[in-house]
Amino acid sequence: MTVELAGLMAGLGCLGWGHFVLSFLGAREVWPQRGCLERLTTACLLGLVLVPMALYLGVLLAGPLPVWAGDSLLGAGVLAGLLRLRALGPVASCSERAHGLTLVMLVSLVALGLLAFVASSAAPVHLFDPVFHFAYKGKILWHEGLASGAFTDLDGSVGRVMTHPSYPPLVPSLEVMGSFPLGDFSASAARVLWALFAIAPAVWIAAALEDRALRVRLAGALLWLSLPIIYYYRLPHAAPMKAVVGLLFGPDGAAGVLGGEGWRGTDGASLDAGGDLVVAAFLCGAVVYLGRARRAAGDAWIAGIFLAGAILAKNEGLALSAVLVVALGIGLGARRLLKMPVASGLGAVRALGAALVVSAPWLVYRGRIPAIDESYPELMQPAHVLKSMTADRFFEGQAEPALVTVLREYFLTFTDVLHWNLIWPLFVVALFCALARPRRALERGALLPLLVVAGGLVAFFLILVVTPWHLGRLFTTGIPDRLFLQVAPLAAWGVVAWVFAPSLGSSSDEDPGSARDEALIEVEA
Amino acid sequence: MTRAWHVAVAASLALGVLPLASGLHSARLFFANKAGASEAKQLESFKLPWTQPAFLEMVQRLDAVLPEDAALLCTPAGGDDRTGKSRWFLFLADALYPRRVYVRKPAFASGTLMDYPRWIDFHFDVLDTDESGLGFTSLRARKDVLREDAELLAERGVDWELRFQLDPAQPFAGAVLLHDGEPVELGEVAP
Repeated sequence: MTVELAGLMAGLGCLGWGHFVLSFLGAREVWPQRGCLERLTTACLLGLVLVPMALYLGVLLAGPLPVWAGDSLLGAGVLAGLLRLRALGPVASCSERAHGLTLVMLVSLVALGLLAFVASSAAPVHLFDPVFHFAYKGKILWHEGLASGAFTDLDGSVGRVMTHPSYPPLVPSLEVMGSFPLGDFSASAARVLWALFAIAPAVWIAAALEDRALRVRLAGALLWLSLPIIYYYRLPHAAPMKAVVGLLFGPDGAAGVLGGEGWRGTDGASLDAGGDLVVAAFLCGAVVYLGRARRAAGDAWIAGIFLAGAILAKNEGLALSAVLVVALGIGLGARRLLKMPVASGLGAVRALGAALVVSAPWLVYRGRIPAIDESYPELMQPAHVLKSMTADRFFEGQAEPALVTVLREYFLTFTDVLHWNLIWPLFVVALFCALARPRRALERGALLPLLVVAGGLVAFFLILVVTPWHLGRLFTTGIPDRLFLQVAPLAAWGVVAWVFAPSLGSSSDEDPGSARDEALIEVEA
Repeated sequence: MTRAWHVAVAASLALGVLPLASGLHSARLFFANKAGASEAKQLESFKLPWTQPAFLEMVQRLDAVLPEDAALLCTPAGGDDRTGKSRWFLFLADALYPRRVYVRKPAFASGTLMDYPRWIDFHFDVLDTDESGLGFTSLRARKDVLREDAELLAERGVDWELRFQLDPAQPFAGAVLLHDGEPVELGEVAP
């Protein structure tokens, strides 16, 4: 069996279990109005949190699991999904026809989705973070489990070698899950599933913009899925203009035309089983379903499971969850001023409860792992943060305050069109407009995603100011881009939600000249 | 303002042509050159420190000698690199798995790059693994540390040791493999 097939079989098991869970959480009143693609995506991503974490819990309690146990769990998932196939009622179909510009956007989305699948399954896991921070831990989970001391004997005078031992276990557990149909551990077995973490936010952004015209929903999805950072970080050439030619014609074609040295293939950690894309997808799902929890209580539980997914993918997930709580707190505090709530208070409590329950096995085990490299809760003491901001750090051979170094890197990343298109300038302007008119932003559903992104960027800023790592070295490893990726789907959603006002009733692209169609692209003046 | 928003969003979407075109080239190259190739062959093409032939050759030579349940202690025995680019033992832990790779002061060895020089200083200045010589008081401290370490190593079944020079260019330069303190020949590389 090939690794791709093993990954797909594991994905099928996840889809089954995810649909089984969704059939109990999802309200029959709302799901028939939602599309087939959203149902499949949400079910699959629920499974991609719950199944690996069930396996992790099994390893925690019983040690390394036999192959038959993992295969049985995945097989049972398919049966469970089939058993509850019709539980959510019929699926809504899209009443709008795509043609012209809408068709171009639809074709682009499908092409980018397919390319994400090719990119994620084309090569074995190979970059530093995916191999040493995640896949190595997957090997240990598969062969030794958690009782051997590999994760815990790290702070004495003699111990095992392990980078970032306190990184959460979702990515290694996904790799373990993908390896069960294969019969032996392979980090690449789950790679084919990584494309789902790129595609899912696109589906959810379109779903969150359900009260907009089809072309607006597609624009929101495309604004996210067309971000270059998903597909590559290393450009075909160090010189920007040559890099553009290399992207358009391929490094070989560009080298033939322009000549010279330094041409190389594109590469990046997002689809190479890195954890940032996973955080991005689950955080986006959590905010989308939390925003909908006012109408259906089950959506709050779904949001909670997705929030757990973000927490379990990388440590930043926990920081972003705290940001989400603060954003919700601000929204609830300003309820009277805004004359409507940002999200349901009860829904938020349910979501946080669910996130805590699903993350519990990890949070308990994490207490046993020594902090050998970074312990941000300790570093985030206000006095230390203030001191770190003005303290000189060495960057490219020169000493300068960390504040200056990080701000400059933020500016460079915001204006880095070759990795980010125009998403960050759009976000900054949309955020200021939304803060100037918060009620309008709330009515358009833009306030919560924009606030979470802004909070996330502030949190990352503080993390970078206090980090014990060498900033100059850190910025050569794709930071802060990889951090920004975690909130990028929310930025795309927030921008489009702010720019394009909701339409009343359905829109028709067959009648592009109609007054109603013009009205739905009414924008903030 | 309305038009400006439209133009900006449309421009951002239009830039999506770059990842689309690049993705098509990457897919074409993959199906032309790499599809169906072995994982090892594909990894080699990435030209990363942990996929370079010199490192893989060393792994192969250790692989030929070490039993599957071996526990190996990695000890720097010289060299002046302090940049972290000579942390070959990080890659070795993954490449030799299921063999267990140990180090002294693991928190310094696999922690931040700010800690890495402390790991080297501990070996050279406290344990004198580079055999540059120690003062009388340091010799006593060294003896105490080594005695404590020996107990821990025995408890964890670590009876293999790899001593090497810190060299960012050459993985495990001048490597010497020891079993129970006795030198062992490294294995041959398969043709």
